[in-house]
Order: sequence, then structure tokens, then C-alpha cells
Amino acid sequence: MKSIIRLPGMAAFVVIIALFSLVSWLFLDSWIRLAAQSALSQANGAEVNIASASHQFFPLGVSLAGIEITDPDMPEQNRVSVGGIEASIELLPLFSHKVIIDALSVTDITFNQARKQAGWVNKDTLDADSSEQEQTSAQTDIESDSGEGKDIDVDAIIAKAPLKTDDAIKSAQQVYADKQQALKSSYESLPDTAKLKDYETRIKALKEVDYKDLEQLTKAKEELDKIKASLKADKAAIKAFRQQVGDAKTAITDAAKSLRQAPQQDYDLLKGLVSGDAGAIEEATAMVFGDQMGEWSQYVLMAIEQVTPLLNKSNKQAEQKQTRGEGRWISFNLAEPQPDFLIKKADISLQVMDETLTSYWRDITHQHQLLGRPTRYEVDSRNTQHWQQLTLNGQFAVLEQGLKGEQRWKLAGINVKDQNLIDKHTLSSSIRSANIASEGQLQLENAQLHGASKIQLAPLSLSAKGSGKIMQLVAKSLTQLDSLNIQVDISGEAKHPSLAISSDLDNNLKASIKQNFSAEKQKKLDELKAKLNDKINAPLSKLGIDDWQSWDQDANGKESSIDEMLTSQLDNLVDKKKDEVKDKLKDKLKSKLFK
Amino acid sequence: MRLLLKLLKALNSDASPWQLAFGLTFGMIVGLTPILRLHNLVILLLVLCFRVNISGFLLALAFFSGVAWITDPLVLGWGESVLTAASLQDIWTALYNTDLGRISQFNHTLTMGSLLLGLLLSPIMLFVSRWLIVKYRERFMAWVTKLKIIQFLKGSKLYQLYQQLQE
Repeated sequence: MKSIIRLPGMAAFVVIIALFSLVSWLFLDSWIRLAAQSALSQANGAEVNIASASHQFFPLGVSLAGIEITDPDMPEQNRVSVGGIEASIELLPLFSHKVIIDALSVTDITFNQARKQAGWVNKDTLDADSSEQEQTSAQTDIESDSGEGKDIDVDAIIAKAPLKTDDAIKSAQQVYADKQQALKSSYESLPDTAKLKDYETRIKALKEVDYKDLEQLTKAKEELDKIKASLKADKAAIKAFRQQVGDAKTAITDAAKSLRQAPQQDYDLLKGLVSGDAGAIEEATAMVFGDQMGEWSQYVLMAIEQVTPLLNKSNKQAEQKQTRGEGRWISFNLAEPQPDFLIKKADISLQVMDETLTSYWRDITHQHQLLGRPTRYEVDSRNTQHWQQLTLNGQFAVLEQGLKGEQRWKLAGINVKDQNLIDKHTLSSSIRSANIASEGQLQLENAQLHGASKIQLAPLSLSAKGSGKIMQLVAKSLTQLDSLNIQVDISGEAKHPSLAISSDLDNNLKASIKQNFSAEKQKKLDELKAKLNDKINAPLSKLGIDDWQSWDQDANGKESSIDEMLTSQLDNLVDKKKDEVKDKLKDKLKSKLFK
Repeated sequence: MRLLLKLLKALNSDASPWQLAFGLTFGMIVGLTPILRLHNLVILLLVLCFRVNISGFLLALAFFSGVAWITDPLVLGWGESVLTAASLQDIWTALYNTDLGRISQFNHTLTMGSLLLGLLLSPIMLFVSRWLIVKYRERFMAWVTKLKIIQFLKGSKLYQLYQQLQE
């Protein structure tokens, strides 16, 4: 008898396991690279490239090098480039589809570097951004035409701007045309006067006949019932039509209301353009320092701007995955709570002004509620070539009610020299030298930022050159500055923070500009308002509903006459005839019985 | 086709009915449960190291992988119920805190549900399939061998080639 043990089988098992391990060892690096590229691209909404990947089993670790993350808004450049990433990963949680990284090191992060070739962008991301871009590009076209020195042409600005008034006119005209066509078609299908006259004649004829016997009368009643059924159907059609008229009136009233509001909305948007540089002067600090502040803010807001949107996306993807019906992973209590994704400790180094700035992170995850603590981060860099102090700390958490967090920072002794601020044909300015200090804080609530920062430039030396009266005045004011306190208010979405930049310079310039230019500009603004209002006068007058009202009245009249016809009855005649027959029968019976 | 022929040959041979029955039973468990799981590795080791019929195992695996498409929605609920049952939480928590527990991936609702189904069906599959094999050999083997389709299969080049390879 054969043994129940199959020795070649054991060998086969060993060979299968060895082959599996060999294939993994040979191809795992490529699989890791492709998987990471795919996952990061999905999270980023645009192409992510990874030059190489490697792994080790004991302890389990992965290294990635040459990571380029395309900016979805500008695919020709990378939102972030990373020199290298090294991660040591816990093995056991991977079996429950959890990624727990004990230590992560990210080096050589740089922002906004040009790509060798443009990266692809997800269609969804493109769709979301396209309308915003169209608006911005149209705005830019107009701005380029409304520079100082030119006589501002209100007609040209109205012609080039993507006006809400035009959209509202189109929308109202479309609504009117659709409703008009539908109502006309419905009205024409209603019973006409001839048809109603015919009903009336037939009913009258039925009522006027002197019925000799009950059978004749019953037939007449059946005929009347048929006419009434037709009348009821026609009445239903008339009622539906009148309801349709009511709905159309409401729709056209709403469209007309939007149309009346549109010129004011356009006026609010365009008044800055029409008032030209005088309008821009109201935000002179933003005009001069805006681009530079935007660039600096990218470093200060890096944590919030870059990391939190990715965590938010991971959270949504995790939620979506659980609904697929492929089973779910249930977690039980462990000594230490374990989210689906957690980086316990991360050191992230980025390049700023040729200096390496390292941030230290703890507990990066999207499941803070489970972990019981927020993601914390800090940067503390002192006495470098470019700054004396740069400290920043913050925390954030993805909670049930949304993303919540806060950040504080303090910068001191930042020396800036020969820094270009603005270079336009109307105004150019640059910092000759400045010593910058800044303190600020911001809160993040439900993915919306609220914060403020004070930036002190002292001492300050600026060079500036302007063309045209107003810009010369601005340039002169700038060159006279020896210090400047700028207030920056931060708001908007975490992914696209919005900076409102202001200073005393704005108020001083505004007052001086108003003295010289207000009357002329006000005339242009009045012209803009009048022309925008003129645009809607003709379309509004064409939204006439006189036809509809006349059709409605006609339908109302027809409904009344149908109601009247429906009240016609032959039932009493039938009953009367029945009684007559009964009486005759009784008489015959009596005469036979009492004969 | 080759697997079918192999199974046919095993059915008609003097191979132990238990070997065939265990092959079918193990194949059923692996087929019903998600493939990349620790218990399936253990079953593969058992199938290869012990004299279990591999053709029967592979055929059952293929067949029950198809059946799993139908049973998955049902067993998902079982897994969910078992893993979230209040009375079992202490056991699952203790198991989850062990390395073996984590590697077994028992905390996946589909894995738990389908493994439960497989384990519940396995004694039935084992004994019923053995009984059917014995009955087949007693009553139907001679009749089946005479069937034209079987004659045709045995006469096919593939079968001849297979026989030659066996020899």
C-alpha cells in the first residue's frame, strides 16, 4: 500500500513558494513604482512620475527616488518635486490592508519646477478648473486693454467681458421661446368654438325631443353621456393648459427677475476695470507685493495647501471603497489604535533660498478620530544665511465635521536683496534691500482657511518706475517708503488659499487719487451702468405674456361653457317616463280587476 | 479537458475514494474563499504533501470559484454578523492581537463568511462525494465506460497522448 505522504509534492510546494518569491523579488520594485505612481496620480488629479523604486524585506522598507508631481492647474510644471522618499513599513497591518509607516524621510522638496514635458491632467480636475480659468483669462484680456494712458472704452469692455447680463438675456429668451411654443401647441389642441357649438347643438336637440317611449329616452340618455364624457376630456385638457400657463408665467417672471439683477452684478465686477488704475490703486499693496507674497505664502502654507487636500481625497476614496461589496476589513481594539493609513514620524526637507528647511511631522493620517490625536508638525530653523528665525508649528485633523486645524508662525531677520516685485509696462518695482519679519496664525475649519499675518518690512528700500499720471504717483510713493507694515488676510479653500493684502499705503494713495481723478472716473462708471441697463430693456419688452393671458381667458370661457353643458340632464325625463309607464300599468290592472 | 480526463481516470482507477473526496473538499474550500489567504496556503501544502487527488482539487477549485460569485453576497452578511457579534468580540480582539490572527486575515468579512460556508459544507462534501464515488464504481462505472462519448474521448488523440505520457 502506498504511503499517504507524497514526497514529490513537498518538493513541488517548496518550488512553488520559491518561484513566487523569486518573481516578487525580480518584479516587486517595478510593481511598487507603478502602484505608487497610479495611487499618487489619482490623489493628485494629475500625472505623477517616479524615476525608481526599491524595497527591502527585513525590516520591510520602500524607497522612491525622483518623484515629480504635476501641477493640475499648470501641467507644464511640477506642483512639487521630491528628490527621494524612504519609508519603513510595518508588515502585519498590511495583511489587514492598513499601511503603517514607522518612519518616513522625504528629501529635496522643491516647488514649481518646470517639467521636461507637460503632465496629463484628470478630466474631472480639468472640468472643475476650466470655468474658473475661462473667467480669469477673459478678465486678463480686458485688464490688458484697460491700462492707464488709454482712453477707457466702456463699450469695448462690455463687448469683451463674459457678461452675466448676456447669459441672462439668452436664458430668458430661451425660456420664453420654449414656453411660447409649448403653450401655442397646447392652445391649438384645445376644443375650438365650433366644437363647443356642436356639443351645445347636440345637447339641445336631445333635450327638445318629445320622447314617446322609455327605450327611445334611454338611448338619448346614452348619447348625452357620451357627449359628457367628451366634454370632461376637453375640460381636463383645458385645465392642464391653464396650469401650463400658470407655470410658464412663473418661469418667465423668474427669468425676468434674474435678467433685471444681471446688470448690477456685471457692474460690480466691471467697475474696477472701468475706473482703471484708480481702481487698482485701492489695492496698491496687493498689486505691488501680491506675486511675491503668494510665492512666500506657499512655503508658510505648505502643510495645509499640499497635504490636507490629499488627506481629504484619501478619506473620500476610503469611504467609496467600503461600498463596493467586496467585503470590509473590521478592526478590533489594539493596544495602539491603527488607522488605515498612518505615518508615525516623518522628516520632510525642502529647499528654500538654497537653504534646507526640515519639517518634523507626527501622526499623518486621515483617520484622526480613530487615532485620537491630530497630525502635528513643526519647523524650527535659526541663524542661517538668509534668516535669523523661522519657526512654524501647526496641527490638523480630519474629523466628522470636516478638516480642522491651526498653524502659527514667526519669521524674523529675513534679508532680501534685489528682489523683483512687479514688472508691467505701467509699473515696475523691486526691493533693493529689506529686512522682513512676520508673525501669523490661521485656522482651518471644514477645509476653509481663516487667518491673518502681519509682515513688517523695515528697513526697506524700493525702486519703482511708473508710466502715466497715476502710476508715476504710485512709483513715487513706493520709492519714498523706508518701512512698510503689510496686513495679509488669508481665506478660501485649503487647496487654493486667497490672500487679501493691504497696508497704509493703500489708503494714502486712494485719497490722493480720488482728489485728482474721481469726477472723470465716476462719469465712466455711470456710463457703464447705463449701458448695462440698456442691454436688458429690449429683451425685457419682448418677454410679453399678453398672448398667454388672452389664451388663458379664452380657455377660462370655454371651461365655463363646458361646465354649463355638463349640468344638462335627461335623468328626470327618464324617471318621469318610468312613472308614466307605471301609472298606465296600474290603470290597466285596476280596470281588469274591478271589471 | 485534461483535468476532466484525469478525473475520469482517477474515478475509474483503484485510487482511494477518500483521496478523491478530500481533493474535491479542499478544492471547494479554496474556491469559495478569496484565493490569497493563509488557510489556502495550508490547504495547498496538504494537497501537495498528502496523497490527495490533485485533478479533483483543481476541478473543484475552478467550479466553486464560479459558485462563489453567487454565494459572496450571502456570506458577506454572515462574515459581518460573526465578526460584529457582541459575544465574540473578546475572542476576535484576542486573535487580532496575535501575529497569526493578523496574517490569517480573519477580520475580512468575505474571508470569514466564505470560510464559514466552506467549513460547514466540507463534512457534507467529504462524505457525500466519497459515497457517490463508491456507488459510481459499484453501479455505473461499467455502463459509463461503454457510453459513446466516453469511447470517443478515450479514442481521442489527446487521451492517447495523455496515456503515453502517463506510461
